[in-house]
Amino acid sequence: MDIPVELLQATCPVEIVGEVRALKSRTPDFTDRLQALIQTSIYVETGQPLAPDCYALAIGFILDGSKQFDPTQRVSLLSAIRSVAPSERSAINAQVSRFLLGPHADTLPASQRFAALWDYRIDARETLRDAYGATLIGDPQSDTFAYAVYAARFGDADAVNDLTSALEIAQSDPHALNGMLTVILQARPAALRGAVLKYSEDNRRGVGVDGPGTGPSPAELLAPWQDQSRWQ
Amino acid sequence: MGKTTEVVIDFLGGTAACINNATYVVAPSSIAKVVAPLPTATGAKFKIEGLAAGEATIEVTCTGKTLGWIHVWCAAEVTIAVDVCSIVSENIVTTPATSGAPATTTTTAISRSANYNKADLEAYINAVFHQLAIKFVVTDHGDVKIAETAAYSSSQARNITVEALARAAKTFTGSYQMFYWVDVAAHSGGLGRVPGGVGTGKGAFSFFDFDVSGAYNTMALELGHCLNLSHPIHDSDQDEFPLWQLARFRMSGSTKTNVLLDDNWNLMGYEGPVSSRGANRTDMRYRQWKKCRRS
Repeated sequence: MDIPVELLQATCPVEIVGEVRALKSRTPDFTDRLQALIQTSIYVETGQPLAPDCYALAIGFILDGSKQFDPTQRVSLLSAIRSVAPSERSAINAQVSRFLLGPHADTLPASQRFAALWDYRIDARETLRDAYGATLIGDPQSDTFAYAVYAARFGDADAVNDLTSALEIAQSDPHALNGMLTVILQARPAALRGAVLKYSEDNRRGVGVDGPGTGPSPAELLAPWQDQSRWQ
Repeated sequence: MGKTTEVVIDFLGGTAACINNATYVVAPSSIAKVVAPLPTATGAKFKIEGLAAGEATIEVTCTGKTLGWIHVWCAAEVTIAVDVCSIVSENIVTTPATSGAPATTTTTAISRSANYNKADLEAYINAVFHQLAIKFVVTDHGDVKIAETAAYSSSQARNITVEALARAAKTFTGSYQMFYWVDVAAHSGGLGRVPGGVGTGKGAFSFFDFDVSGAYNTMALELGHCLNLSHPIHDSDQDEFPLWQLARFRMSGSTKTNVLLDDNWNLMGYEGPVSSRGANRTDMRYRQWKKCRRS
């Protein structure tokens, strides 16, 4: 159920209610205002104390209203949610979960949606596995690949096996291998570290901006990520 | 898809009677439709509405005679989240303590904060990629500080390391990242780079500051590489440019230079002096529209 405005008004100072409600208007600086509201910097501007229950309701109210947003605004909203400082995420975790797993969530870019779920440590594998789980994941830009990376971050054994197999299948083509490595290295799931770093000695070059054989090698891509502390 | 686009039509030598009675037949009609009012003069604009993803041809006829065709490529507009930041790097050298002296640390600035304007950059790349029905939402992360151990180098491995240091220092929220790396002393000598390789790289570098002509344009080109687009002369798959253009690439000597080898007005063209790029280097060709990644 959506958060009623009366509850917001009863919990938050009038200035903040005004800012949150005004966001529904289509203003030229919509993206920046959205980010400021969600990252709480707007509250600093207005000099209002940031009570956790007000913050959670304000975010929930914005997320409820996002059903009216166009696709670009919803992508902006997703980026803003991901940019909230880790220390502040627990206050809005329930609201974010409702948004990321709600009826309109599958219209969000899948890779960003899964990354946001991980940011908030929302383990929704039981809900998402049927729709996104797959044993054959070839395209690193696909939704199923993004889901596998998300699941692997939770140490999901099936996802780790699927991604390991995908890398092994791709290894005959260094460019294809690079494509998978690049996506995995953005997340760096600790459970995949061994399967990924086994390509650290592969010096074949992929497709670079100057044509085939001018791109990076898997060894070059992996060289900065040898340290275990950089995997999570 | 679901939107209209304007097309200018020239009826060379056409009479008013012919223009006013011209018919516009879309095949297949499920992809697009011509929106009234229809053109009444040569050089007039008319609108085409996209109905579904796919391709169609509009045949324009007058009293049973074909005047010409318009090819329609229709796609749903997509939004891609990207990040931008300046990589601010310092070379930190620590000298171990010796029996007679304590340890010392020397810090030397290598790259500085760039003066790009996020709104301007976003508007620029969106103006370029509008032709592909791709819209970018940019999140600005300001300065991302890293510690480097060496000055600028065009080495691919070096750029990969810099990108990795930035990723370790900051959590980016977009699908792709735009990195400004601007030398503190002078222009680094590099223009732009995607160290991860065409179509696999997630980080696009510009080594320009904003006030150097072509900085936003270079960033748009590098973003194109991230989205799987090649330079005209490096289209090894031969699936991004017209066949006549690709055929000329395989020629040699003066014949080869007599065509759009560099395609300098194409976003992905890159040869020639920097001054010839920038504002004019924005167009993309039909096969590039189809090749470009949309997520």
